[in-house]
Amino acid sequence: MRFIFFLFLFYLFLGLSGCAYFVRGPSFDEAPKPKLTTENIAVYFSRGGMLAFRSPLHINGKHALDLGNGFTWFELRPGIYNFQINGAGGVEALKFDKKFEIPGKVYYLNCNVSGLGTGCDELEEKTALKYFKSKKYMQPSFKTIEPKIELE
Amino acid sequence: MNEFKKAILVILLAISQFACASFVKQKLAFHEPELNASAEVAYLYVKDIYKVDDKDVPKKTTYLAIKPGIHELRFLASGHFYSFNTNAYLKAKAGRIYTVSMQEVVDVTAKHQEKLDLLLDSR
Repeated sequence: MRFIFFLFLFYLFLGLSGCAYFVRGPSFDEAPKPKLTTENIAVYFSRGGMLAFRSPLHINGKHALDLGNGFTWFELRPGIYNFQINGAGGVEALKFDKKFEIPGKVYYLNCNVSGLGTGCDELEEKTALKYFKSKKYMQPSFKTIEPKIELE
Repeated sequence: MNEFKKAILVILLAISQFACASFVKQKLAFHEPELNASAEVAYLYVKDIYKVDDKDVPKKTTYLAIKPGIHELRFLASGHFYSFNTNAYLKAKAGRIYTVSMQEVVDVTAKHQEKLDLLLDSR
């Protein structure tokens, strides 16, 4: 019986250590910054909710990164983009379109993926800066991508 | 049972079959768009869509005629374990028919192309 108990603990430890994901990137202040012009926009992106696993983030169907307890950013042209975040085991958890209209603006998105609530909020800059400063930067596989739908 | 009763029974059976078929046809026909002969609008099936451009879609609506251009659709999507509210943008072109399936906007004009062509030709 004791053997089974220790075996259970061992597997639990393995599971948790395998799931837990600690970001080792630079802090918000030390992280590279997006090049903002009068023609493009910057989109900061982070993920809340259960942070014990990585969430693959896709933009317009292209895999950007596996986002853990960190943040990333993209330099985009104004337009409509599709975001998809997968949950544990790669299961599609959240998918939505977002319109970015104002050139030169910085957008802050925080998406929650958990059993308690799934959704995505656009944060005010003041709130966003406080929140993002507690996170580490993660580099995506691309910094820019063409819009899914061009604005008219 | 004499021949007369058999004949009555066959007739009643035929009538009930006909009534049933008509009822089913009506039910199916309800889901077909009653397209207007116009190249100025696009059509959108609104199954699961509850808002178009922040306006509520009236209940029992099957489809909407929408202007060409960009529209935001809000709908209920089914995830693997639960349903959630989400959105999609549609860049509608005149004379096309759209729907939302598996969270993607789909152009289903081809399925109704013949009907649409007839209507447009009859203008």
